[in-house]
Amino acid sequence: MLDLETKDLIALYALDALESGDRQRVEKWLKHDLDAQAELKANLELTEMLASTVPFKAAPDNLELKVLTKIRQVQTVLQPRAPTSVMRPATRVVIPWFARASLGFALAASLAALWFGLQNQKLAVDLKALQDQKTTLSSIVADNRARVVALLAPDGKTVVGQAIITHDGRVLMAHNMGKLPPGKTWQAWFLPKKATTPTSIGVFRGPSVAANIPNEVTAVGISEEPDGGSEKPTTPRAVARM
Amino acid sequence: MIEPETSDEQLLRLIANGSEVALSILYKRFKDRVYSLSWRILYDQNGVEETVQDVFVKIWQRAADFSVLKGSVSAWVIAIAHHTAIDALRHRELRATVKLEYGELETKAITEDRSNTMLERADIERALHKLEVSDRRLIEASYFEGLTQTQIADREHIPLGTVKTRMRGIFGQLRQYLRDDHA
Repeated sequence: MLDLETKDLIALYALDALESGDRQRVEKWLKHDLDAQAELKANLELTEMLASTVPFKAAPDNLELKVLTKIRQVQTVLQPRAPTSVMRPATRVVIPWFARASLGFALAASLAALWFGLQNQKLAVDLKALQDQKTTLSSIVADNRARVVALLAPDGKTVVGQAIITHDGRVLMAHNMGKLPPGKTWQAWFLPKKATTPTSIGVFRGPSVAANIPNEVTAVGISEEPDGGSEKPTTPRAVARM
Repeated sequence: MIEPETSDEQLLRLIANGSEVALSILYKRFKDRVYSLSWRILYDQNGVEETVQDVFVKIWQRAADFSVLKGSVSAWVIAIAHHTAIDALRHRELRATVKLEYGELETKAITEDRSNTMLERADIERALHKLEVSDRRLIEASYFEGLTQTQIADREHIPLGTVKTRMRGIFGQLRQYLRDDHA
């Protein structure tokens, strides 16, 4: 049961009207106190309704692209959080030259992005994202139980890249398919075992992408899509079957 | 493939797994509400666009932290939007001076797909009208103008303790009025 002072502060917290000292006190309660969480939940429903009283103003059409661009700046290499952990057969990793080049490019791009990030005074966010990218890329390449599968063009013969899949469900796809046409983006996919439709991993623009995938997939691939990506692959460009 | 009827909660799970397609769908669902609220607080197109971008970056980064036990996705998104816009407002040390008269809210340009929101909006407007004018001013000062409890106390010439108890009281009244409306 919450006392009145606690309820007072939670109401002000929901309105973003607390100074830092009181704000920290409330956040401490919210971590463990279920009554405090329930009180905040009820108050946030009210503030959401307050928000619904504002005059309607439509977001500009080009804002979505800006949003996606900003997200890519923060996290240019995708890092899904779903943990996976099924052992795969050990295979010696032979990383092809263009995968290494892609990795080098990605790291160089990371450093460049870091510099621009500093210029933009987005230090904390960008630095964290770049450190995460570097960690992910390094751990995938360093995994000596990872296996390498060729990414094949739709003709099923031409090798256009490689997918490196680690024992714990991470994938690095590196390709040599060149530059994207204007208004297009690469989109990475995986095909879960027993599924007939692929699941999007996310969109990317460079020569490589790293991401988490489920334990059991039958294929990973890359398609070319309009900016922002598609709900299903419209122009498949590369696929690697497990 | 993501089905159009995928719930907000499912979208957040996909976003937590790195799906930009899911983020794009969630963006389309909430963009106008986030933009409108940010506009109401900031009144500045560049600032609003920056804020909307920051809101969806936060959603991208924090999607895995969301829990239905703590509320709905929409309340969570709006809370992030409000906090981000108020933060931007405080950073530029600008206080919006435009007063919102609840009796004169704009009702034009509401799109058809916002019918549920319009119902909520009518409910909350009725409830707000039932509040004392001074109480509406307190809510306005904190929620839309971004004043802290201390700043409200200074501006309204009332003790800080009174601000705290009145805000809780106002929330209680609003809940009661909304319950009455639905009774």
